[in-house]
Amino acid sequence: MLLSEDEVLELAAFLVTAARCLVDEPVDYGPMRLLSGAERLCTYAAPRIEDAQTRALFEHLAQHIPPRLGRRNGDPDGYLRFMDDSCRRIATELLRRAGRGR
Amino acid sequence: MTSLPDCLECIKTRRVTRYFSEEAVPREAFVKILEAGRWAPSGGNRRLHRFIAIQDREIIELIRAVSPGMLGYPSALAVICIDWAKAGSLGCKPHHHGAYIDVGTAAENMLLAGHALGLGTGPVTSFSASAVSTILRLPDWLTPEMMVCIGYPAGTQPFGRSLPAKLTRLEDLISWEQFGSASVGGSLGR
Repeated sequence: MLLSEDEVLELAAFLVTAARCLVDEPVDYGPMRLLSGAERLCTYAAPRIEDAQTRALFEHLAQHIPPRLGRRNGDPDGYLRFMDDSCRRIATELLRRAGRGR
Repeated sequence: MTSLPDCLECIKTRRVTRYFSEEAVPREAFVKILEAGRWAPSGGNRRLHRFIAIQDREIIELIRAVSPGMLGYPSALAVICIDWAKAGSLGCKPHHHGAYIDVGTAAENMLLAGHALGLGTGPVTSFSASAVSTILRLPDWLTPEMMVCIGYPAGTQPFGRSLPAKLTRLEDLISWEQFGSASVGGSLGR
C-alpha cells in the first residue's frame, strides 16, 4: 500500500481544511496549497513506489516544492516556470507509464 | 532586563520559522512567551483573550492536520482565542474589531519573546477554526484566531525565507502629517 490509513486521513484533512481556509484567503494561496498537498503526497508515497522513474519524479517534487513556495513572491516567473516544468515532467511520466514514451 | 536598543534589535532580527527540530521547548521558556502575550496592549484593557498552550506532540500533530498553514512540527503551540462571552459582558458587539487587533498584539509579543529567548517562532492563521475548536474542545464562546508555533529552528528551512518581489522601504509606508506627503522630517515641504 502506498499510503497508510493515517496518511490518507491526514491528506484528506489537509485538502478539506485548505478548501475551507481558501474561501477567505488571497487567491495566490490556492496554487500554494495544492502544491503543498502534492508535496505531502509525494513525501509519503515516494519511499514505497517500486518504479524507479516514478519514484524519482515524486522525490523531485517533494524536494523542490518547498523552496519554490518560499520564493514565490520574490521570483514569480521562476515559480511559474517551476510549475510548468513540473507539469511537463508529470506528463512525460504519464506517457512513459502508458507505454507511449519516446 | 532587556535594554531599548536590544528590543529594537530583536524587532529587526526576528524572522518567521516554519520548520522546527524535535528538541522540546523548556516549559519555563514557553511560560515566558505566554507571559509576553499577557503583557500585550489590549483595547480598553479589556483582556478578551485566552491562550491554549500545547506541548503534547499528539495534539500538535492533530492541530497540524487541520492547519494547512502549519508546515513543520513545532514542539510548542500557543493558540490565541477570543473570549466572546467576556466581550459581550463588557458591551462589545459581535465581531468587535478591537478584539481581532489585540490578537495581533499578543501574537507579536509572543513572536518577539520567543526570538529573544533564542527560539524560532511563526504565526499561523490558515487553519480550520471549526476543526481546531473540536480538537481543543473549545466552548462556542471561545474562538481560535491565531496560532504561534514555537520551537528550535530546524537546521534547514526548506521553505526558505519568503521574500517579496520588491523590498518595502520606510518611505513607502509613511506619509508625514497628511496622506500623500512625501516630505521627511515632519514638515509638509512648505
